[in-house]
Amino acid sequence: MPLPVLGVGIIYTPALQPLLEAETDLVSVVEVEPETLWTFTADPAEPYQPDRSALDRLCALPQPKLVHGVGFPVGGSRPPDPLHLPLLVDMIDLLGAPWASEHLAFNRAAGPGGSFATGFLLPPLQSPAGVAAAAASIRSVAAHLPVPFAVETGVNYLQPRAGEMSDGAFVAAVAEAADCGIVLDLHNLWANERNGRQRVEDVLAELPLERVWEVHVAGGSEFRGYWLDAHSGEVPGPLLDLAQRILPELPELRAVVFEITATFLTRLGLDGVRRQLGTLREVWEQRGRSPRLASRRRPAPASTPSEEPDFTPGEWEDGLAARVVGRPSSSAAYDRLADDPGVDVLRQLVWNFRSGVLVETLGLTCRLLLLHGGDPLVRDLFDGFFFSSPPQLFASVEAEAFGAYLERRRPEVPFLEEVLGFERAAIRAVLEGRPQLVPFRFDPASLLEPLARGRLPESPTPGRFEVEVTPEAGANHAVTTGLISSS
Amino acid sequence: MALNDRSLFESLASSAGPVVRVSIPTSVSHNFDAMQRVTKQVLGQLGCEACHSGFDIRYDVLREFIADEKGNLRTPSAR
Repeated sequence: MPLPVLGVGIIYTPALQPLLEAETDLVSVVEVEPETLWTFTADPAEPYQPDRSALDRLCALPQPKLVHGVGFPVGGSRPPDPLHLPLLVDMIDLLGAPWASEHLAFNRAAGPGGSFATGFLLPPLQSPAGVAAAAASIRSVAAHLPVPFAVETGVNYLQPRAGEMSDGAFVAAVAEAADCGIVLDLHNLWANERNGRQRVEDVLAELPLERVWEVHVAGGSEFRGYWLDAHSGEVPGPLLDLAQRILPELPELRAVVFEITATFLTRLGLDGVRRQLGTLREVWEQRGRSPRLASRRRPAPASTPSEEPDFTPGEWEDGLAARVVGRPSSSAAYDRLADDPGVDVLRQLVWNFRSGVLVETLGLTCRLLLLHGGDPLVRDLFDGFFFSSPPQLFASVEAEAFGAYLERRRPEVPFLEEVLGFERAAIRAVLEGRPQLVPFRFDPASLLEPLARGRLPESPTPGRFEVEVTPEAGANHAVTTGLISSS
Repeated sequence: MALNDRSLFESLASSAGPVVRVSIPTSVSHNFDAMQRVTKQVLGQLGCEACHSGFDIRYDVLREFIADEKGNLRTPSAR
């Protein structure tokens, strides 16, 4: 059955809800990143649980939905955790998504201490063996899905390596071998070209364009001479021009999706989103009008120069991940990556990503640390934690690990016990669905309210207090608090 | 005092004095200010992070939030 034509849409975040509810003419499709709505539980049989209230709100939106995975990429040699598949299938069914997609990347590796997460989507080995590994991983997921499956062309901050398959040839070979669709992320390809990799036009010349069902566009930013896929604002003019040239060549295009992170959404504003989507709708009207290039492009796979390196896809993943996360590795690929400046960029991005997660999940604790010891103290604590503990896929797990690290390290910061205990209890209340009690040696309001305003608590009222933190039904990750005190 | 919640709780519970329940109007734990509230509503706080491969600015946003108009952190010495 042919896939439905959906039109121009946007990645879902709750802040977009007013726009999505009111302006169905502007937003034709909503793309959902399912794992952002999941929590990780201690149940080994069903480790992933959905946020039901968030799902209800999504289902109530009038637009068609697409499902675009962000947590279980399919570009590596190790297939993603199969325990995520039942919930993924449930969400596809519930949202009525006509197709689903994931990233042609990897985010897990192995080292001396066992398997670990990379904290970032990383590029797979572009070799014939890498093609076979990715295709097997894709098929392992696609076989369980009730709808067609596509993979997204990834960003790659590493320099091209001698002998590797070109970016276009690699994606083409994987898509053909796995018989899947392609989510053509134009911003990723554009960033890759700006960072020294294959030209976008050359990538497109090698792709089976009839497999492109969906296009992603986004804004980015500069960092240390690299153009980053930051999803940080409006689509740059040159990329819009590129989209205008390319969309007419995509005979099976079904959707164009604008990507922006929630952090930057507050800066662009809903009016900015409206303007962007309006522009993209004009570009959309040009789709598939001249698919001549789709028919004349497509070089024979044998024409792609490539050779097998002296390490396997798994060794590549382990070596690159170890470089990026800062862990030891005996992989031959580890040594080969020593001089690639892109590794340092990735390492910094992972540091920032992990710090962002902690600031998000343990906001008051991080404020207290920052106010007490300034940037040097926070950086020292983050550095120590990141060195001692690899990244975690789920923010709640990362937060709990940092809480445990602080508990072990015991920095001399007044009120840290109370503030950290309060925030850990709030997370547990949401995850476990039941109230948590937190003891305070001071009036909680006199501690927490100054921190919330960005101030250190001054002379908080001492006493015996307990805060009962209770999950709030129907609210996304909200908890209510009540106090029990003796003063 | 250990950071462990339970040990702190038990220590407090063993001390003398009556316990009185107090209600406060604050209904949401992270509801103490606009910045925190917006962020909590916008982002999937506990799940996987949304997809992007760029520079995460949330730590910088926090630093800006608690810096005063002169760029100094709001520590006691800066006030």
